[in-house]
Amino acid sequence: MDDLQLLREFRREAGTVSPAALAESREKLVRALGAQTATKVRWRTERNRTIRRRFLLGAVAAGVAVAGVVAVEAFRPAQLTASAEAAAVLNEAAASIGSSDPVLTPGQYLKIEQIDRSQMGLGNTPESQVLVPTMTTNTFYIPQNQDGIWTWERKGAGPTSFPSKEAKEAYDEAERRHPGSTTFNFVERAAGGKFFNGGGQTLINGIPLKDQASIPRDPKALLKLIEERTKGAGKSPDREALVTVVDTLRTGLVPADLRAALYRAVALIPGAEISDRQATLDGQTGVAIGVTLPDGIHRQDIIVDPSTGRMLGEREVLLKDYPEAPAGTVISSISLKTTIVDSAP
Amino acid sequence: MSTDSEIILRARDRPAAFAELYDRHAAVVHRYVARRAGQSAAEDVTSETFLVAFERLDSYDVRRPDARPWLLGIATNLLKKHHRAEAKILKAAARAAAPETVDDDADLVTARVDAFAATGKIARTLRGMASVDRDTLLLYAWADLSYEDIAQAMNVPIGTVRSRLNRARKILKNKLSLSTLEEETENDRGRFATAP
Repeated sequence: MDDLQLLREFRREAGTVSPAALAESREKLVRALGAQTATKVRWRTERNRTIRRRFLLGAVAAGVAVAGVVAVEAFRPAQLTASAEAAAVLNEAAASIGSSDPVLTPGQYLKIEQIDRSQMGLGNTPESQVLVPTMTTNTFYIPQNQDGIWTWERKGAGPTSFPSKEAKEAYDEAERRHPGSTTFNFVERAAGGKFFNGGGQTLINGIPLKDQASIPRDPKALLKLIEERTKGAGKSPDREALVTVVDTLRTGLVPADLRAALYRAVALIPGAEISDRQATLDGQTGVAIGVTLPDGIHRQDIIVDPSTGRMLGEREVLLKDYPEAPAGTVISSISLKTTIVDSAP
Repeated sequence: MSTDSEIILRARDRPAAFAELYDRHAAVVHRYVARRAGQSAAEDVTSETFLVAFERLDSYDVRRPDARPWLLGIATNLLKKHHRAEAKILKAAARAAAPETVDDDADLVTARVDAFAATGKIARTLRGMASVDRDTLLLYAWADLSYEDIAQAMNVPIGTVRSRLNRARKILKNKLSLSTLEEETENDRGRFATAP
């Protein structure tokens, strides 16, 4: 054995960790994160907007950052609500929902499948930055009695393709250094959906699922609540409101009347407009309604099927050309599919 | 799957997203600290590392997809508060592996005995080492960071990492080869089998 091998053996047995210790410190952290005030987030956001924009994809030259600053004004929406076309689609979707919620019998599960595709940025310098498309599937099995055991399958399928030789090399290098960071298979189980000893599923940025009845169904009041709960956070209030709606709908656990109200609330978001009438996400086609970020570099879309009222998913689209990705590239997307099944893995 | 830097970007806007970084790396940080300063210190330092990291989200260079060097750098700094615990552990390891406790007719377990004897020397060497050298060496050997990662973790140029690591390994090698000499002396008296 050489010196390093001997050193690596020394106190190897001491390097253990109990799940209980990790869970306890996670809980502390989550409490601290929850306590972050809006003021602080706003301060953080303002101060770093330029820095973030510059490094958004790792390869944005200072000139583009300047262009971004100009774009802030150019993209400031003039209207006070969503565009009329977008509002029409959303109101149609809301009307299509009706009052039907999935009905489960004891022993059945609501299966919520989310396919998350994102462009993984690799490379240590802006010049060597490459994007590799990867896929992760999160599948939740929620029992009819929601206090029962929830199952969460997390499957990392790794890269779905390699756009170039450099991308393959960068990925292989990353994988060599940290094996299994994009290919994994975990199953988590937790009573009442309290995964990782967290507080369980929440709606609208932290309202516990069991308190959903207290959330207003009036679209104006609902949007006001969303804006209050996201005040100062995020890249723009409009985008933040849209993402909060998407996050809430993605749980798959929102009752019909609240789903309809959420769509009607999006119809009131200034700057929301139709970005694509034929948006396809994992084989499902719907209408994309998006909010362009003040930096003019990204657009956040929600994709709905107006004829059924289902949210098909969400995506973030790049609006400017970059060396590693042209305008129009979908930086990330999550598709959503909900079914009823008789068993959980 | 997002890279760490993507999670950090998200967390700057939405603090709750930061928990994902914890789920990814808390075990690595905890193990590293536990090995250096014990379980109790590991619990404190792991918690604090992520709280400090969250406070410093703005300073993270998002061109780096892997946040481990950053987190382990914070943990290494926080470990300074637990230097007494670390010293105590090393002292105990040195004492436990003192030469007189080594069984003298253990031919079959020579390798184990070697390692055991080495344990004491490693413990003594680590204790006597300059703390920056010890940090560098252990980030390399226990946390599996590369030179470049360590440079980022300790916020020093890569050349400094190289020279600190060379120095630390040289000291360690010297102590361990010194032990070989001692063992050979012992072996002359038929107490240890020699390795070729």
